[in-house]
Amino acid sequence: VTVSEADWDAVFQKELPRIYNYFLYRLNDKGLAEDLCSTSFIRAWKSRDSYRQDKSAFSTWLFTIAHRVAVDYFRKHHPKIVSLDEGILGEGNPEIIYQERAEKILLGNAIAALPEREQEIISLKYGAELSNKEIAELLKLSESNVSTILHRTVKQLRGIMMQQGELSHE
Amino acid sequence: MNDDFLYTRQESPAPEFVAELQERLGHVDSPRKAKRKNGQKTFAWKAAAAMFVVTVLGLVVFSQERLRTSIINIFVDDPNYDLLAELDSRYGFELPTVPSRYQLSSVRNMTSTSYAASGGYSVEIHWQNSDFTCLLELTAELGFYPWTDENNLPVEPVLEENQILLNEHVVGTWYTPIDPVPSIRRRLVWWNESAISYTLDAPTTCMSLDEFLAIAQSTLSESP
Repeated sequence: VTVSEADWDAVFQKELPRIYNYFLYRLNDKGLAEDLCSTSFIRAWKSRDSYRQDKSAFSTWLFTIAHRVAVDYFRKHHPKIVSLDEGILGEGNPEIIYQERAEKILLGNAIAALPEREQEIISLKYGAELSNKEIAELLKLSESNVSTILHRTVKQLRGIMMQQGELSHE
Repeated sequence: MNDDFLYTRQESPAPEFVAELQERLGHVDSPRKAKRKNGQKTFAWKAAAAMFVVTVLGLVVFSQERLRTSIINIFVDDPNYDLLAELDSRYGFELPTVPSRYQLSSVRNMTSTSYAASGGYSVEIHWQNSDFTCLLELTAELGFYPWTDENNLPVEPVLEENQILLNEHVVGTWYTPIDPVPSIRRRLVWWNESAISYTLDAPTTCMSLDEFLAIAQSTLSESP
């Protein structure tokens, strides 16, 4: 069973933002996220005839391709650490924009400093919003293992963000 | 634990990026569709080019390959996942239709290499004919993840150009981690402990992995 031509538009609309955010979390760079997102979709598109519905959900198949694209990239590169002074602030209240931007940058940098596997899991969970079960399937881990890693990593990231003053104690 | 703050990094992809990607996808055909369009002439030309490349590479590496002992042969069916896009994008081959049965491969211990000092194993995927698709799917079927390189860093099983041979049919060498997941470890350790001195003759017909393992187990347990 293949993804029909008619389905592809729907798939594209639904999955593109998730794949893009997966790469955004993983790479900490919008331009690179767009590049690898494109690579993933082009690969998927070229081999769409070979997708088999009886083997896995389409999103799983697509994320497997994206995961491979990311792994290929990280064989030669490291995640980017972004400076707070980088980029343009944009329109609106500069103070609010700066604050929001600072939070994103600090979070992106904190994720980029995590070990490889933790980065991947955080990106799939909070960037792509995959379920723990989907992440486990994709990374060949048990679901309980994914949950444990997530719990530990979220705690760690929370600590970092609180240290940086970007989160209040709750 | 409140994890809302972790969603704040999310953004919508830029509309111009989305439009551009849609435009690009509109100009990309799947390999099979392109094949149908171009007909057998294109396929024959690419196949000839591919054969030339692998022949040259095969001549270079064949002499080294002959010195090694093939340890075990396995047959796998029921493809798990499609990796043909990987080959297609890397080598531009016109890939054949996915077959229902798969071809010869082999697994060998790498104790003679420096890598073995770190406790890892490598797997070399072999095949009997020129069906590239089956080789790639074999890796997924066996689930050799995660792979690591010689520095124990995680990598994907990516085919290296200089590992494509014709005569010995070596398509790729990938490393398993020092501490693979338990099911994989069992499989590899079993091969490592039991299979070194045996070469199972390839049956004339393909069989499933389970059938093969049953025969392999039986053969090895009967041997002195």
